Amino acid sequence: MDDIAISHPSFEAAGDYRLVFETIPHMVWATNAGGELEFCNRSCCDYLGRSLQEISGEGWQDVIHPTDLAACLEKWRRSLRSGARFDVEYRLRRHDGEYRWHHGRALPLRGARGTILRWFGTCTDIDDQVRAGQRLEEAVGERTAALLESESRFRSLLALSSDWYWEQDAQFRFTAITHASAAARALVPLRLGLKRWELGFINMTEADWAAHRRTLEAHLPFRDLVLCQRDEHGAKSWVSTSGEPIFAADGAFAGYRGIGRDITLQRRAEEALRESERRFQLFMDHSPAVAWIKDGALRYTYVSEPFLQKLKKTREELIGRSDLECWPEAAAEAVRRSWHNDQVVQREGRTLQATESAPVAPQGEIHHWLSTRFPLADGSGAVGVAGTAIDITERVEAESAARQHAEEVRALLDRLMAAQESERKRVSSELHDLIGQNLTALGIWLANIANALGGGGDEKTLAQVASMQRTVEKTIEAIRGVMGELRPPELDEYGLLPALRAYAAEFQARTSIRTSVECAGALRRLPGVVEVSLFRIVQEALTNAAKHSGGTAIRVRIERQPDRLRLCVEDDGRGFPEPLGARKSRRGGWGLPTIRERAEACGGFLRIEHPGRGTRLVVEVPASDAHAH
Amino acid sequence: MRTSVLLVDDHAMVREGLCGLLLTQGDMQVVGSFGDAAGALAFCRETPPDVAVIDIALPGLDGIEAARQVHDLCPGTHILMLSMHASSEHIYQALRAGANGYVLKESAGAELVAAIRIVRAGRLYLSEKISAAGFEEYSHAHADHPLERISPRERQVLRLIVDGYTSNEAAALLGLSPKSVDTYRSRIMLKLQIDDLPGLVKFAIRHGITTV
Repeated sequence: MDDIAISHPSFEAAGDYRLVFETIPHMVWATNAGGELEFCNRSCCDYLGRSLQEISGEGWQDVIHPTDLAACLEKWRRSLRSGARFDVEYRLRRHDGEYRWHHGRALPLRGARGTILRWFGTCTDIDDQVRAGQRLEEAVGERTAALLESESRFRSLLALSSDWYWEQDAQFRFTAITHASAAARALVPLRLGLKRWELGFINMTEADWAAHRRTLEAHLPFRDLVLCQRDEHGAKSWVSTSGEPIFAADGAFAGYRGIGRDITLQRRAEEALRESERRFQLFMDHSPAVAWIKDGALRYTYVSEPFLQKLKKTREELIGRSDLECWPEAAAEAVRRSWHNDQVVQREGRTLQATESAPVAPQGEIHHWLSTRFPLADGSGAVGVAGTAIDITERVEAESAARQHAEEVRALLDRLMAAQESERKRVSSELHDLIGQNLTALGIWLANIANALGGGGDEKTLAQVASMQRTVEKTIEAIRGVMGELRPPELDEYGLLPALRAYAAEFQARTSIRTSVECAGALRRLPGVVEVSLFRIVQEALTNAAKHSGGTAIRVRIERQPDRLRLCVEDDGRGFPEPLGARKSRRGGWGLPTIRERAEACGGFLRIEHPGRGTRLVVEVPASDAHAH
Repeated sequence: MRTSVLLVDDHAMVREGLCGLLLTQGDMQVVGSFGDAAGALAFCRETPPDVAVIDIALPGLDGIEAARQVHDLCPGTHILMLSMHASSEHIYQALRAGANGYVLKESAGAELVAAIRIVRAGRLYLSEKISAAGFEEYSHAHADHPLERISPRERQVLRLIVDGYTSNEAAALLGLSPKSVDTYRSRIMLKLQIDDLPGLVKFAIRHGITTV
């Protein structure tokens, strides 16, 4: 054992305690009355890794953490002056260089007269306690910050999710209300000290309140209780409130707390939406059209009531299914087309109109629809297809019947015209062959008689023969006129153009209206029906012009075009007095309708033009080979 | 020498009447009388008449076609068309087929004899009732090509004439009599409304019948 420490001369008086000091594990030290270190035990030297000489006097200051030194010295000097107990916490540098917290303590040893002889001190390593304390403090600090953070989060959440926070006591009287915002204050209908059912909400029945109270009395949470009140202006406002029971630490029921929200706007929006939905339903259900909505996968998500009735389906059979799954095999073709149309709408994002036909169960009679489809985003954002369709079966059938009827009328008219033409032709040729020829013979014989009588016949007989000759001549002329009217021989013998020219010449002579027939080049012969029709059209048009136009000239023009023949009859008169003749048709005999009929019977059409002055009647008929070659 | 006349009409009474009419004319002689074109054509083949009076409306081969064939068969025969129809088109068609005259039936008794004499003399005859001016206007407006107004045979003759052949040479080339060629020539000039040879040459050059 090293005895350097105990061999210190001033410490010899301590004599008996020396062994004690050296053997205890504590750091023990002593100073003189002036505070200069005179002794320290072995534990000190070992702990600090210093010899007594090194820390004697003022040397101990070197092992104190520089930060703690000033406070320590201050306290030490105070104790030295006052003789009061020295108590300090400071960090001492251990032999390995680590500073550790110590509790330093020193008491004065006084002589008989009370003077301080020396100070005895100890150092206790409290590093672990200090650090634990520091950690605790840090933890508390952190925790406090977290709590503050949590509180503020809670507040902002409260502000977001609710307009106020409330608490009730065990008797369900409101005891606290916290508003999330100033605006919310005006909305809150709660009154401290009152119970919820004492606040005059107008939407709750006695039974509703009873149910609510049963929940409260059972100490169960409640969610989204909707309450309605009326303000002084009579306007309704709505709140929604949720609450949960509070229990004290000992498990005793202590009341409720919860939040409330003003849901008036939401309620109004919902009501507006419901109203809009209701109107939509009413419109759809009273519409003559059927309506549907399909999602992005073309499955029905909505079908209107008329849809179900017309197509004899239930909603369950359609909703969630596509056309491919809904309809019988007989409708496969219609389904295929519908599917195609839906895809066109999806792909091109545009409205599509179509007429569709499909058999309808159970009899499978064919119905026709006029449908309109348009793209409509479904809930998931995919492009679905919505549509409406009107059943146009009756219209289609009526149109078809009308068309058929018109065709029958046309056919009848065609037959009538053909019969008329052939009859005219027959009569005309009989006039020529029988009567014309006989009259001709008669005329020639009369001439023979006149010749035979020569100058020798009596004047009376000669005059009679001459008169007979004139009668015969006039009769033949008349017959020629009738033949021309009935059926111009040129038409059958030489075709349309010569017939028109002959007729025009005759017409001009009869009416004094200058009438020309123009055609660039010669015309090849057309089918007889067409030639007759066009000739009759011109005849009719000339008659009309003479009757109504008051003009002085008529031009008939025939233009050959690659695939058709264009016939124009143009006068220089006053034009049509009324639009397009239908009203005049009775008075004007067959008039324009007949012309139109004839043109259409040849597969062509009639057009009336007003070139400023007069009237231009244009007829076009198809004629693949109108050119003369 | 009397003018030989051939009558073609399907109506026997008409034929008889015409016969009676012509019998009284000392300068005319009815050499044949037929009810259809076939008989008349066969007759013409044997003995071409001076004048053929042909009804425009014959059963079978009609009068226009009969005229065309008679004209081709015996170009020296003058053809007089007899018709109930007064339209320019009929007249035009008849003349195009080779007729030299056109007589309306109601006027036959009064005009036929004179008409025969006129066509026999190589001139054109149209019934009095027919307006020659109207017809001329018509035939001008009608024909989109003047060449359409003359028959293929006439075109052949025209070509030879304008190429400088004499009537005899042309007749030899075409197997016709010189008299027929002359008839053709006067008919062509009549139809084309051209009065002299230089006019004919000009026409032929303009329409590509001959080259310069």
